[in-house]
Amino acid sequence: MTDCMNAEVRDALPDLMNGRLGDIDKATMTAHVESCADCREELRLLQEIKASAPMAPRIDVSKIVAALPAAMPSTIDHLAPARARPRSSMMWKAMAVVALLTTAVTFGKARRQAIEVSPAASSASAVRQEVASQAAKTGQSEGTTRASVATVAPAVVAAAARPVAAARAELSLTGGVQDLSDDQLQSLLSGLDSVQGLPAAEPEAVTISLDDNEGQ
Amino acid sequence: MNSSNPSGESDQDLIARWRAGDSRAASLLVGRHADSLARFAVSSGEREDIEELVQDTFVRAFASLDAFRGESSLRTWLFTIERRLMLDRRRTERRQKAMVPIEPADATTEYDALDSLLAEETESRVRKAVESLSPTQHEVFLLRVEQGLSYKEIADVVGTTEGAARVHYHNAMRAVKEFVND
Repeated sequence: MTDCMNAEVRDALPDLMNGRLGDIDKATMTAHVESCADCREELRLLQEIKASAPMAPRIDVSKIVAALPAAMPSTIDHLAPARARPRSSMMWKAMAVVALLTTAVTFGKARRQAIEVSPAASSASAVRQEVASQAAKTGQSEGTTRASVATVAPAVVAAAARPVAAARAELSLTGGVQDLSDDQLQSLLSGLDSVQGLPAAEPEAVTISLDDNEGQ
Repeated sequence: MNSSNPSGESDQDLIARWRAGDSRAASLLVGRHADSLARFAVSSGEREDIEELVQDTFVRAFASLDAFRGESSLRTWLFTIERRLMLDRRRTERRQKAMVPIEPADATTEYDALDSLLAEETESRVRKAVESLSPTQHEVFLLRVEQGLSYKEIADVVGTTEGAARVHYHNAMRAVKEFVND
């Protein structure tokens, strides 16, 4: 017994025998088998094998049905297609939370790197922190102290324009005033002494100056 | 393949009816697939308690219909469950044989009577050829030839790929031919 060279036909011989082919495929296969001795022989062997299958005992259907569990309402609810949507919705919510967390962590890292690498970009906020700190120390209102920014800001911005290492040494966001040298601290305090109790003018110009620095 | 009865109701239709409380749908489903499951069990070498095996298959299937999403046919799913039950049985039998020594008096049992019956049934050369196949080839070959499953369905039942199922079938067919031609 040899094999037919048409592997596709040989593949489908069990389907032909078990009646699992559509009309067109069945007609094509039947035509091939009629003209191919190898396939006829293989099909005959398959039929012989199927016919030689051992007899199975008769199954009592009613006995099996009596042993089956009853369909429970909870089971029916669970299988309803409408329940698939909330499950899918929960999945999307979970994915959204993960995405938000990832974005927050990434943004936080980028922000930290930006602060470390580019002090100039953060000089304005550093000035604001400094102002708030000094206001707390001197007991002045922040609005009053803001006037001193006109004196302090140029020094801070100048420091920000220096190389990163130098700027780190002189002005650190974490160190604050204690990072300043004695001379710088003295200069800062003397500048504060000259600040008027009430601003001579509205601080809009200062605010604009800060925003400009921050934007650079 | 989604089996349907003469009235045109598919397995899915009957499952829906059963879920809605129609017990007659369960009878139709069991009647539709019970014989195939029994034949598969016998062909696979099961000799005792075939009806119990088929019943266990249906009980497990109906008890866990939540897990049946209709991605494969009910028929394929039933074969998968029955196959697992047969594997469990064989493991249990192996353990019992390992633990309990067989006495000579045990030799004449119903098991041997069925063995003799089976031996008579498998006298034909083709049957011997099929039974000489390796366990995997044998399983795939039976599902393909006797049960008419597609390679995809066989892959689902035995837990392999469609391509592997095809290779197993053709290797089995070659082995059967060689056995018969010898």
